Amino acid sequence: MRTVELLTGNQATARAVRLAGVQVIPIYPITPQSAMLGEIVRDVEQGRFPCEFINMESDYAAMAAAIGASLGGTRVFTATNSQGLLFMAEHLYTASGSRCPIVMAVVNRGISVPHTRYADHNDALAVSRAGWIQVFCEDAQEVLDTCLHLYKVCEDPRVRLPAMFCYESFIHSNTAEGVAVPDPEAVVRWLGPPRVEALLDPADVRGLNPPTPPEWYTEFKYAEQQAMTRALTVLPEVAAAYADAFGAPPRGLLDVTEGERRCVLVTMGSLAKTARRAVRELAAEGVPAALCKIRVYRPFPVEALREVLAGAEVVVTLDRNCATGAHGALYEEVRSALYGLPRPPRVHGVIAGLGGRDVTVSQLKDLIQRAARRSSPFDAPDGVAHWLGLTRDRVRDESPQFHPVARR
Amino acid sequence: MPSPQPIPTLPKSGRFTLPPVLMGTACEGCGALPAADILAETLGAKMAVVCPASCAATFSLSYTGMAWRVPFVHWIFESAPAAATGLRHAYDARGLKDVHVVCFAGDSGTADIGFQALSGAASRNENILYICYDNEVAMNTQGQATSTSTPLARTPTTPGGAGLLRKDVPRIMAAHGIPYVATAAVSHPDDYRQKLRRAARITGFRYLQVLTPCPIAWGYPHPDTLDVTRLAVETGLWMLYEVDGGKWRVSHRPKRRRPVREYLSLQRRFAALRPREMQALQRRVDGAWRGVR
Repeated sequence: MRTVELLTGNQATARAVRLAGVQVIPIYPITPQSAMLGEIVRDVEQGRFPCEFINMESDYAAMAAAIGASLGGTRVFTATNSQGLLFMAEHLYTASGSRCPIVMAVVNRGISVPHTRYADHNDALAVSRAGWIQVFCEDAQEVLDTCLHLYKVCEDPRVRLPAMFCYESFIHSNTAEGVAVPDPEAVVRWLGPPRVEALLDPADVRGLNPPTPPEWYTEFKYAEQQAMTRALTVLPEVAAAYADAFGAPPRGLLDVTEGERRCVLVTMGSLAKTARRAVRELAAEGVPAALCKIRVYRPFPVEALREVLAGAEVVVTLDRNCATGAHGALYEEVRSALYGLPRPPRVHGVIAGLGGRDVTVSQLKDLIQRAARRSSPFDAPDGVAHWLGLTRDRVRDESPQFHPVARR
Repeated sequence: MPSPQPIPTLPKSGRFTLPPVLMGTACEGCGALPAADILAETLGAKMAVVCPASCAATFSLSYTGMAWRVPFVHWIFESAPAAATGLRHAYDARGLKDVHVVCFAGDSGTADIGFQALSGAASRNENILYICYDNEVAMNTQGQATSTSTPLARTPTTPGGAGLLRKDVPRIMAAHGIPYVATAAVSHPDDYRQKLRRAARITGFRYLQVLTPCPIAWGYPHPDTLDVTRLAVETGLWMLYEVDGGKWRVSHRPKRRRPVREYLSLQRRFAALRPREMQALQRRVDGAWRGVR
């Protein structure tokens, strides 16, 4: 049922979108999403992919058009990242509030300033309150599978919400891997025709988005919250059906390695790949540790996480993001999820890999070993993040003038 | 202040009528109402309307009634043409090619915050009909100046009078090379109707800018809306023309242009104008007409 091909994350996305029979693609280029855009254009130009491809004039316009097309009753795709995603922010709420089942690829890239083209999760996490399902992928295979899952999940009447699947700038987007691609006709059968309600339909005249009084606003938001909660059931259900249909690996809300869960590293995205190897090497050296990959970040799988971490002694959260003045996103979510457990594990927050900074297997092994051995393993006091691989000499506390500037 | 009464000038025929629940949301003498009504009457049922944040968005729709009898969405301020683009392509994908996708937007949503999306959709020559109803202010937020405000007009954000530049959006749209551009005024409904009919027969991006005075922002008694609009046309301040397939044509030439002073003196927003400033505006109008055959 599946053929293995050499595909980058961007190519895997372009392929998934074609397999899904997307009807309208309004899109605006941004590095490093642009290579995917090129793939899609080629498929459309060469007649392999009959769809309405629209070369929009900006990211916010791309999302506006995506919503317009969804309200018109079609299956829609778009993609962006970093600056483009923030530029879209207002429309992200329009999409979720309008209950449009749009699927979007977000090629996670750090936010300027300082300017960067490399990976971190600050872009997607900045919009994590916008009512979108968010799934973070570990490799190109997961990118392709997740994209197909999400069309089924989002168009499910129990959900009817938009979703973004995230993978990382260059690490995933421009790196080719072996990807098992399902048979196109089988995908069509599995996915079925679009189940997108045309809210703007000449055959059924409705007016959308009237000014909403305080007596109603809360209920609409609550309905979204309930749909998001139902997605916690629908996401694994659809992933299991996909695994059955195509012989793909099952994918849950979380992905936890086998073995003892005394010391657990929690992370997401490409860092999970690195951590997977670190954990395996440690096991071979007789140090038991586990990896818990957060695959689905929104809705956040609180119950599933509590089950996994209930018996753990120590948890290290590895955040490829930072919220200045607060904590890493995973640190906050995990600590909050564990509240009320009878004997909750210690949780240490680590910030790593910002703006594409490499994170190595040996660094992660060291982190896990220190956390397993000592109650305060890092320089930072409890509740303060440890910044992995920080070159402190570069940040002079006495100088408030540490700006990203250059001189001639 | 907006009046809770229905406006007496609202035409009762056509397909844009305020249901009782929306009566209090529009003001007496609002120029946008006849602009919407003539649009609805001319295009009929075969259209869907995307309306960005504006007075029109507010008085078009409530949970218990709507003024349009076609699919309508109250949209985000800056991106109506982009949303309309998506809707157009969805309709095309579904074989609904005969349904007009129409943007009905104010001048802020067109010339200022919405300008990028407007230019983008025009550059792609999307098959959309765009109507800008121009009351020269951001009236949904109490009448702040926009880039289409008449020079020297007083508004809450230009208490000393608006700047001397007025963004000429129809000319900018014509410069995009789109198939049809026109100006219209609610005082000249036949001219407006004819342009709508012409636009409806063309495929591609069509842009109409309709002068729709606002008695509250402009400061004149509300029954005078059509008279004030007519004077804007007869003084030559608001030129009625079309650019059809690149061909310019003035559709209404005032027989003898009236002095702009007559128009300005009717409105409180120009009350502080000095004679020198009135003369400057008059010279500007004279200059604009000099090249017109």
